[in-house]
Amino acid sequence: MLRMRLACLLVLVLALAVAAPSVGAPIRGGTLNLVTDSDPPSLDPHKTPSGVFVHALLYDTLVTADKNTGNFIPELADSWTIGADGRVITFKLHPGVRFHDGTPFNSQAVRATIERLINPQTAAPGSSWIGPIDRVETPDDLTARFVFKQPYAPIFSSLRIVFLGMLSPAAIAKLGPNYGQTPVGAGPYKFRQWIPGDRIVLDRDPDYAWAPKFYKNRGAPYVDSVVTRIIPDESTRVIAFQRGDLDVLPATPAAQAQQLIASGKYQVFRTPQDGGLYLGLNVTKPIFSDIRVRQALGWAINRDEVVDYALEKLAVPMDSPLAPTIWGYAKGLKNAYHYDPDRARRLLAEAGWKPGPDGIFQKAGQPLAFTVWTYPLETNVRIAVVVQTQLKKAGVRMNIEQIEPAALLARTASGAQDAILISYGWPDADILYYFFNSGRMASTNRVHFSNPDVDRLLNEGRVTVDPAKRLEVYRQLQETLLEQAPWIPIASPYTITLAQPWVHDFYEDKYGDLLTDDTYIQK
Amino acid sequence: MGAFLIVGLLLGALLAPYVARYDPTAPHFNLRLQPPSAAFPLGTDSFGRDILSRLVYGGRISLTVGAISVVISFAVGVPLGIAAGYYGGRLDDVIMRTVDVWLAFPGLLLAIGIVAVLGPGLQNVLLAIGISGVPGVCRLVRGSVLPVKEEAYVEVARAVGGSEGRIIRVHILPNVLAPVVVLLTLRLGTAILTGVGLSFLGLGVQPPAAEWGAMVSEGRAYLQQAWWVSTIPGIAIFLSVMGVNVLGDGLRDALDPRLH
Amino acid sequence: MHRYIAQRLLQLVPVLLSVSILVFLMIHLVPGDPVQVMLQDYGSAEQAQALRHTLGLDRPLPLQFGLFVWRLAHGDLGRSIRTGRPVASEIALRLPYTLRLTAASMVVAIALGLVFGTLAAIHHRRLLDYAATVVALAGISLPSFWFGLVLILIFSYYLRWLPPAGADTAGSLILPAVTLGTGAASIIARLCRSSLLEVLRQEFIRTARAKGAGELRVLYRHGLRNALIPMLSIVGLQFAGLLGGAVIVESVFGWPGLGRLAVDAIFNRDIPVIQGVVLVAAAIFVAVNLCVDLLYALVDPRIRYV
Repeated sequence: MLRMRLACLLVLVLALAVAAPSVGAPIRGGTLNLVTDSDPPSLDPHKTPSGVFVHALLYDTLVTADKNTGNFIPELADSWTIGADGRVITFKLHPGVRFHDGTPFNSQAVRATIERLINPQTAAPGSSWIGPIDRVETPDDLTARFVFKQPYAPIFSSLRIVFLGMLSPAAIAKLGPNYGQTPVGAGPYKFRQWIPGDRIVLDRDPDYAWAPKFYKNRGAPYVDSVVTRIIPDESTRVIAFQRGDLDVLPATPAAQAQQLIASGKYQVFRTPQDGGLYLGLNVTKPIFSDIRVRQALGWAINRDEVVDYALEKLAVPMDSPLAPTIWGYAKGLKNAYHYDPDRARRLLAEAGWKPGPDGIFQKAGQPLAFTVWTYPLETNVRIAVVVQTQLKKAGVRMNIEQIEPAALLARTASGAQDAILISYGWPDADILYYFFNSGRMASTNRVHFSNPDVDRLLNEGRVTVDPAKRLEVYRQLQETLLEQAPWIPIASPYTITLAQPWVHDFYEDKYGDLLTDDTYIQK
Repeated sequence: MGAFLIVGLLLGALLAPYVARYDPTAPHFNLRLQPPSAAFPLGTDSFGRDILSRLVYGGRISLTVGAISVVISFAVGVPLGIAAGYYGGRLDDVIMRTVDVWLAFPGLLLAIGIVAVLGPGLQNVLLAIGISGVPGVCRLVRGSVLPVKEEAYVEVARAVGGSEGRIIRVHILPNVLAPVVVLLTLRLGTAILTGVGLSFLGLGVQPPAAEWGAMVSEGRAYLQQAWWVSTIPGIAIFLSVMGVNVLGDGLRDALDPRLH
Repeated sequence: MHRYIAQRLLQLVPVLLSVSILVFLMIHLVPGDPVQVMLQDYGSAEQAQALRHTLGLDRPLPLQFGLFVWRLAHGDLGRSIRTGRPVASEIALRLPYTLRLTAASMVVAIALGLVFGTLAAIHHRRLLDYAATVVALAGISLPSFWFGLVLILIFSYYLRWLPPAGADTAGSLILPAVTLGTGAASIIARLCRSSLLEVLRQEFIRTARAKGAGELRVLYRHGLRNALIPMLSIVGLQFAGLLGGAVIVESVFGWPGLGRLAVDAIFNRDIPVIQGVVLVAAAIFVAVNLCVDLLYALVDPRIRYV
């Protein structure tokens, strides 16, 4: 009898042991297939104007964002202290970290990375994000001290992004300008191959053991490799995903995303973007020099309609120049616009415009008409078409002109445009400095806006280290910007990422970064 | 057969305001992506615009692009070709080498380049396509002038004392006419398609103007759920370009003396 | 013969030079510069200046062009402003893909073209003639970005026979080659038809038929062989032209060829890459034309280059 019972128990245990893997335990192995629409210019974060998710797989940064709360938590730095005057930040580095080339990560690496970043010879597009840094001190191997010329509050937002990923000094010395072709980082995957125009292949780094705390798996990723295919055409990407050739479809435009979501077959990750699309009005043009005309446009646009019809409901209306997920966004702003066409008409009448015979407002024989420049992207064009219809109803004629990015960037510097409809993205309110500071009119201040109050608030926001005080500064700034209306904020689209049902434990954080350390494939 | 297609298309384009029931740019947001129905015989697109209306107005634009750009190509190419073929010598060399360089430029890239320099919009597209068509025309015209130049009756005409201009008009041109007419119809097709390709890249006619290429491009995202948005203008393009080509073929058969 | 070849090769130089000057002028007429594209919103004015200086973009235009020619004479095409890779590498990485696609498209074009053209010619003025002509014409009447997507939907999604994009498997070549090849197929079909028709009427055909030769043999020995000459020139033109026409197909199918490199370079204002690609394209064009002309001489004993 006992023997029988023991035998049964043994069978039961064995059965459980065999069944266990199919009940949700991660499986090692397999390839994760991702896709992007074009080659990054380089895999060197110091040579790339904007982050691509491939960089985030290769490089780790000093701090990162918690996937659930979005707060800054340690990654390559274990802890930090901020000096009393806010000008010095001392980081204690995580021990035992190695780069993909085997060399150790230490404070010398941090210093070498930052020095290369700000070196004018490197011409790194991301160099201004480190702020007014003076030097990086290395009192010992695991302590890196950042010394700034003035306090720079946005520094943690910057340290999180992959522009400031840590590079291996040995590799810098060996590879020089070719770093981007055979990159070396301290991230969970190391570089294997890059066929330009076709794919980028990364392999798991088996020695990786310092994943951020929110992961269940703190060590090397489960998948063997990550292949990022390069397919420029959205429709082709969607079909490749539907076929199963791709495991994850990042950043899908609304029209394609909506039909995939509707099919109910895939996991959907809806991440609010840290930015959005706006109508930027060139305030130096006569038609927009009157603040009432600018404000009228703000009341004339029906943002809900834009979200519903241009963006397939996959967006949120923007009531501030900052999107809701940007650090510094203030809720319940008094000057926020909503759809009120009567108010728009009243403002235009106040400004001396009268309705003309074709329904378009007129003054001194000139119609209230302007041309908006936008990129030839599906999202931009769709929003422009809907806004055009709404403005026409309100008595304003808006003409649309698609211009490719290089030409638009060049021509707006001199203020040739009436208005632009483009998007931006950045996790910190400091980004407004680039768009509205009167000193940036020859470059990023495309609306050629100049206002002393705004300038003052922008500068204050940079140096105020106390978060509560800083938020208050930015609240005032947003109210002023809304009232002055150089920008008419429109909508912030979600970043829609889709994953196949056989991809488990894959996440996206609030910044849209793909988090794959827990991910495993089980078909 | 080709003639019928062309006439049909021309009629449609000319009669657009009568055939179209709706303003081609007026959206009906609550009636987006509707399949063909009584209210909207060809359905609606992603903004709820009537596809039939957009189709007929779009035909005007697409056909205009084809026609005018071809006129540009020929207005420049024919005189150049005649000059090169008839006068020969140094002039011929210079013209043909220039044409070679022109031709060596990949066609679509040249059009993209020109539009990039001049900016987007209908006029610049016409110019770009017209310019990229010149070398082919020039080559062909020259090729038709060469054999005729040596003919006996031209010698005689010269000997008798006829002016160069008259000789060209009376003897050379008629011979050049046949292949030119054929080429014209063929280039019309290519021109329409190049215009369509430029729209695909965002460099053509600006929204919300209806243009067949832009309609096909916009509709691609919805191909799996609302195939008519992209396919119907695609068929329109197909029929018009094919009509033009069939016409060209028929003309060639009719005009080629050797086939009789 | 050798002198003729040498002469033609020498003519390459002024053609390439003119093309380069044209491209150079065009690039500098277009608004926008590569430094701005690279730094976008993030760099400072000083950084932009410094970068322009490093890249030599602030030098006077004639000097910049002169430097380009000088480096070219030493076999140096410069470096891509965007990626930092040598332009020669960028082109070398993609050229094989473009050549493969072009070759495959030509195979498709010739096969389809010959079949339809012959069918049409044999059944001249009967139903099959019209039907074959119409089908053949479909090739140049369809927008490639639409046709390609439809092919992907049918063969890749619904039937699951072929991959939708990329260049990794042997099957990846089929759909893009068909999309690209149908255009050239139309032209070849029409040419084949008219050449065959012309030849079929000539005297010696009647003689051969009278001698009792089989229909097919007649067709081949006399008909097709003589149709070859004009076809060669078309093939040559198409081969060269496919580089530009491939841009859209390469985009739709994610094929890593030269067309996409060129368009991306134009949008990024990557001057060295634009110049390099156009130069290579022009050189290929001229070289192909030369080969075609030489082949003429081989095929038609009446043509001789003294």
